Amino acid sequence: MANTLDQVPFGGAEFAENPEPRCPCILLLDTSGSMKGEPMAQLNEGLVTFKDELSADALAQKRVEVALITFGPVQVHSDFQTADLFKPPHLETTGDTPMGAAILQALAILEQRKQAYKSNGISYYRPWIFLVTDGAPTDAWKEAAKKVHAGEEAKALSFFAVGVEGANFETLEQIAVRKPLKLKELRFRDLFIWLSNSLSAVSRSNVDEQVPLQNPTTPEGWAAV
Amino acid sequence: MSMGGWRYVAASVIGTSHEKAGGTCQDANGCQIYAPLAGEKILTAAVADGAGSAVCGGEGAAKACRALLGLMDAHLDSGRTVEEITQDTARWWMTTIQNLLEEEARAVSRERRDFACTILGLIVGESCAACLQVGDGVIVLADSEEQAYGHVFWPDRGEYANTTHFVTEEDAIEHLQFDSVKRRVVEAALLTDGLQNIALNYQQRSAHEPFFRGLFTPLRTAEEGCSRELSESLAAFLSSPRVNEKTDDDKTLVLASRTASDIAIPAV
Repeated sequence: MANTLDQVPFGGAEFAENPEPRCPCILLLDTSGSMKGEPMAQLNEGLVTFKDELSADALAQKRVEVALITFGPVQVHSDFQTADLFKPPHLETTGDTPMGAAILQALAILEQRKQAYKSNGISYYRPWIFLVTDGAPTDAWKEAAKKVHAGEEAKALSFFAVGVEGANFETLEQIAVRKPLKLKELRFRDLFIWLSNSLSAVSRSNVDEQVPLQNPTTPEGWAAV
Repeated sequence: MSMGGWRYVAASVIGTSHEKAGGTCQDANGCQIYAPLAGEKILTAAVADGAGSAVCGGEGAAKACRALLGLMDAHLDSGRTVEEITQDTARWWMTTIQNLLEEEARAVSRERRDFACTILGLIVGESCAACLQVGDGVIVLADSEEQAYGHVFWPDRGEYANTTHFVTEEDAIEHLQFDSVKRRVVEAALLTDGLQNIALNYQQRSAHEPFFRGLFTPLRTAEEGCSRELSESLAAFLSSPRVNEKTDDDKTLVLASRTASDIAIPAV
């Protein structure tokens, strides 16, 4: 050992083993009746792509944590798990569109997760909530909107709303602080590739105040404003 | 073992992510022995991490380090002691650095925030050490050869892993951490955020003892003053695959010891 030390004087340093910092993301997906048929098929395929894309990034696999909530009824399909454990579900269309309750549920599981990070000494990135809908809320949503605004204001989260054809953008604009994005055609695949790339970029960022995201609203992009 | 003057090494090396992007190292460091004709030898050291999001972050870090070392020297030149460095002194130093970066920025038609960087400073006298810090990174001290390495301030990261505070921010003074340690410090390390993950144990919120033991052991056998050879070894260690596997950020380490050991202590 002494010989190795002569050659590599500082080689004796042993490293601390720390958990990877986490990048939490909640997918808040509308599975109301109107999504039936092609939209739901494309959404399911999009989720598979999402998993594949994240799998291609070794660091993102360990750092990005995905939770999935569907509505309605509001159901926590899968709670936070790192991307390597996330299994894309096969979603079926069900009832109405209780978007307000779904958002509140998302905020609740996010708060729990943050507490778990804190008590385990795990550092984390600003969480993302990613809402995808093709309709309008069928429940009270003002309280949820207030909390989303407060969360954005306090930099406690980033809330993105994506409307599929038929979505009520007036309401979405009142819920999200960021301009809601309009999904072009049914390009869920491109949307989830973008989301995976964005999360990968965030999860490898370091002491940068802001991570520049790829603009999805270019002519070739999946979204329109 | 005998007690002598200070021996120290310092290195800043580029992170793999910056290297890939064709960037430069945006960390900076400085370390000096202040040796008046009569009286104690005093160690002054500074490290800084230029913000990746700032166009001149690396320049800001270099200028901030130089400025802080200059301010520490000026304090000692005026005949004042390490004990006399207070929170107010540190605040004044930070304001001076802010003003300096403001001027530098204006001279090249930029804004102060374009020079955003963190700053950590340490000045060690015979029986007192002053520590100051804005942003993340960490200062680690040991009081005697036997005693454990302990951090002075836990890195100030803000809530998220990718945010911290910079000396260039309007309210930087509010994020200034200052401590005057009234003990005899025998070993000290300053490091930037790029090494935090391997040097600190986050769950226990403590300095990772085996990391620092392994680094200080070779330093104790060095000559007094700055060892260029060992500094090169330190830079090589910081760019080694073993370190790069754990961090892709720029990394800076300053190590100083006034413990001398005649025989190299073999690693256990």
